[in-house]
Amino acid sequence: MKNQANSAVKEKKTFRQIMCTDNAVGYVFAAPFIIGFCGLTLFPMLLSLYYSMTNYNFVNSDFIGLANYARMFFEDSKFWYSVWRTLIYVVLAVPAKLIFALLVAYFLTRETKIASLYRAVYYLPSLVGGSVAVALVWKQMFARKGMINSILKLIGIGRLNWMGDKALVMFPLALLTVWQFGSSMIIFAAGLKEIPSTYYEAAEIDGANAFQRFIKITLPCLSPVILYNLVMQTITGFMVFTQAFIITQGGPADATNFIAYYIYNQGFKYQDMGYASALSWVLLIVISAVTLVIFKTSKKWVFYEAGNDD
Amino acid sequence: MRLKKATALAMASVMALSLTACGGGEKAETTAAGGTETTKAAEETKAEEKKEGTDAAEAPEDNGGAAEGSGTEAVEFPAELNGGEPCTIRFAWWGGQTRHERTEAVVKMFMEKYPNVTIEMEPSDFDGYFQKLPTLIGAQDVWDVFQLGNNWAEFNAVITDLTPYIEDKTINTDYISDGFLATTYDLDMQMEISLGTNAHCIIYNADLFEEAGLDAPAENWTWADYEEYSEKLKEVTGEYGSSSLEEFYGACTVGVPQYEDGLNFFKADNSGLMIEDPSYMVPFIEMIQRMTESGAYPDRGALNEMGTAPEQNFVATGDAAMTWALSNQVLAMAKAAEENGVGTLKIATLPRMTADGPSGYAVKSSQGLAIYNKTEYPEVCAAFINFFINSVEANKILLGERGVPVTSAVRDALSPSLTELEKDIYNYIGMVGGWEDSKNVFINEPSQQAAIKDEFKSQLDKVNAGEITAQQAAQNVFDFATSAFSR
Amino acid sequence: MGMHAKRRIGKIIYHLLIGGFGVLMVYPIFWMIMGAFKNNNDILNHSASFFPTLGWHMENWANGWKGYSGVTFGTFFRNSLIVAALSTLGTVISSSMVAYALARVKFKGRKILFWCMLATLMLPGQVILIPQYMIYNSLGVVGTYFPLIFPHFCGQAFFIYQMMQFCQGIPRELDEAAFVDGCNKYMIYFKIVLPLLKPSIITTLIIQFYWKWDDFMGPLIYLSKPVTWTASVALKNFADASGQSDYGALFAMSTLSLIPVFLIFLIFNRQLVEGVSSTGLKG
Repeated sequence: MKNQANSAVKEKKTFRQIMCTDNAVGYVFAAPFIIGFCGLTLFPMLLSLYYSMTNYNFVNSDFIGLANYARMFFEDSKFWYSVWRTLIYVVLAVPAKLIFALLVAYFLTRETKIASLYRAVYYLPSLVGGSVAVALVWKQMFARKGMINSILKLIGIGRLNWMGDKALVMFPLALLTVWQFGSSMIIFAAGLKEIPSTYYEAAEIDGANAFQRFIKITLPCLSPVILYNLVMQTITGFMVFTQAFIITQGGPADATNFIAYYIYNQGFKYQDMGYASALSWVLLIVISAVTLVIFKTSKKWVFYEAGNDD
Repeated sequence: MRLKKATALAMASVMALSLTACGGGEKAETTAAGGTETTKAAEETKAEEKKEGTDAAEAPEDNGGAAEGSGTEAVEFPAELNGGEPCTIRFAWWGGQTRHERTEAVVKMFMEKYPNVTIEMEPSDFDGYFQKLPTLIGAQDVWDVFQLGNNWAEFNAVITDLTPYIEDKTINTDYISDGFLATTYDLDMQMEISLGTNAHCIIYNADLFEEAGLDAPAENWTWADYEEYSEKLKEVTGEYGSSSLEEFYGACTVGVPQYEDGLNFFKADNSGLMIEDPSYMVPFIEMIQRMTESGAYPDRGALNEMGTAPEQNFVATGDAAMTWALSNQVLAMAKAAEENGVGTLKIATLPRMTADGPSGYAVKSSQGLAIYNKTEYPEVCAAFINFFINSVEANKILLGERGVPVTSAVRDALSPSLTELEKDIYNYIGMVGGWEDSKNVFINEPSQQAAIKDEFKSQLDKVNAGEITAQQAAQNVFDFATSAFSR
Repeated sequence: MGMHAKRRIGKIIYHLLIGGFGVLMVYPIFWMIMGAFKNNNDILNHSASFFPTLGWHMENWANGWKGYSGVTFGTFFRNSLIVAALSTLGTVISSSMVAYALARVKFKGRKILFWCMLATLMLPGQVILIPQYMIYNSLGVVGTYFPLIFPHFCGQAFFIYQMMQFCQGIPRELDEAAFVDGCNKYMIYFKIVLPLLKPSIITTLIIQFYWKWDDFMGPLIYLSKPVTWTASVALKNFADASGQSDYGALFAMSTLSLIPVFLIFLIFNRQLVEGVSSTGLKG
């Protein structure tokens, strides 16, 4: 009898209960992503994995096993050089961009009108994006007789061959990335807004100066957002494509032949989509590894208010 | 086929030459180097005579009218397409604002003529076009009619052979010489119908040449002359002597045939390199190295700054006195040079290896129209191409913006309104096509060329940076190309 | 008094530094805007000069505005607005849902989902472009805005992860309190998480709107007729690599194209500063 009653109660509550379990709630809320991923992304990704083992050229795709992977490891020094150059770019551009974005967000997150104006001014460059217009503007800024060289000449350094010198070309491109730091800045600003002012008030009473407050309060409270920006900017840094495509075409002497640009050329220009797919999967593994390292170290410096639930 | 192409090509050019020579559009001179002409007509030298003889009789009655520019069409177009049933075809091309406007006007003209046919136009810029085309090929959703350059070897798997449509006259080639048709015939297929022909050339600033005390380049001037001129012109411009060269062509596809009549960089069947020794490339690389060092030739940074658009070329901005270009770029450069007030630009031949050696290049198609091999309405597409190339009215809108038109009726109709420079270009095309040695120059572009070209550029940069010697660079390019063909 | 003067000097230095650097930051932008009044020669050969040296060329604006095939930039901007606005809406709705699930609900497989999400950012888009095109083509939606807008209703990794990080900042005690009050997990999303995610959502709005406004590859591949083009595609046609370019018109229309995204920023920018001094959420 008792058992029966129990199961009746159970049955009566079943639908509501099931829908309120963590699993059900999770799947309901994650449904948009699950649907999109399975419907639009998973199949293309698996297909590209298959293509990486073929000589797919948009028309034919004969299975050639791991030949593409063998080619990249044993024959294609250009690819490894492009990995190296991309790494240099990431190391140059990403930290500079994040530090700059954080500083601007920190100093300009005030309620004053003038701070608002400054923020708008600093954000403006980020709005022109990777368009042809900005490529042309940037080229002309670093042109032989452009603004930068005119200033250098004035202060006696003389003109530099920004786009033609292997040792210099990375700077205009990295600088363009840093110049367009706006999205990171906004995210930092939103993060700063979340930090309760009572923390600062308490610290001020304790006699902490501005620098100490920044180190002891701002950085730890902001650390989840810093982690986020670091991961995202690293990933997008490895994916850098537009600058090489519209400003330097990979030159001079492959100095800006970034991985994503090289993959694009292999696929779309040289019609070797099979090889491009293989390169893409290696790129995915490289980025995953770097991301994983960032996540592992983050346990030491990221503090979650809500507690780390891992 | 190679032979057929070459003979006919030479013949076509003689005709082009004679055409512009008579200028004013006298109808008696109308050429009809048509498809009926036999391919074995090896007596190119007698082309003039031949034209007045047999061909005049074969030419359609009304072609004289076209030559007079009275508005009547030289070719008769069908009254109805697709049996009057509605149909839609997609047509794509690349270009800038001017080309978009003119092409759209012609498409509208076609749709007015055939109200049952809808043409969906997809204009785009060059980069975007070649990002989209491979995607559409992969998805088997290519445009029905689309523009292509000479890189058909990369796309031949989706192209319809146009020969049947030429044979059944859906595409009327009565006014197109075999030579011009052959510029887009490769791998046993009529890949496309050329919309314009062009050839490599040097564009030079006549005023700056005079200022430097130099004569206009002779037809058979050499690279040594060119280098010497550049050094002198550098003093006049205060910047560079010469602007960009087509570096890869100069060292490889044009440079190699300059050594010896019949020798080429690539094999005719796209299967590999014809040369067996990288040292053919060395002198040209060394020349660029010397000139870059002396400042007579722009380095990679300056070239990158300049870009590829004709009106940005240093010769148009006055920073250089000559440049390597394609003959259909002359007008844009000359217009920009005039606006910039830097002088009068003129057209000259490319320098040769030796004054009595071969020229190394030939007339080729600048762009053509191809048909997708899975299109639902191949006849309608063919009829559209027919209209596009043959309609005098349409070409009075297009105005040869894509290169010298291939049909003689159109050229005749346009000739009264040609400017001096345009006449020079017509004459130049005629002259290049008339060269005996140009028939042995292959104009095929294997699908591996794009990668080899990029590798060449990168190796050249290394030479200029002093990292490797010209000999090493040539060897590296050679090895790269060999391995590319072995895959 | 001395303290006061010191503060004042500090302030002046602050403004000089920030303001001076700001001028340096926006110089290229204003150079571009000035370029809209120059001709090609002026833009390419007098790049060190800010103001036009070869006369003011007002015709750039008219030449640019007239667009292609009788379709003006008015249409291109309208199309961009439709695509950007709907995509942004989709991103905000879907990403906040997915972020809530991944950050707040302990369900099976969420670790895998998280890495799948990151993986979508790590594979170059070009290699999955063709299969994706085939999917949309088989649905018969190529040439419409569907392929440009729909994916954003499935969550965007960049913003999902961002919202997850912001979710981590919301104390769990709030959930628990709400739970005791009879809120189930669905209501917690609406009543607690969504309101508290406001700064993150505003950030998403600003960034995603601008990204979609600026997006070139998607519209290039999926749109064909000029009447459907977005401004980003139309702008690219001013600088054709093979032929004539009209840089004055390019700069003029690029300048106009900046206005909507800048307005969006100005409108929502206030929301990000306002109330910093008020009691924080976590207090």
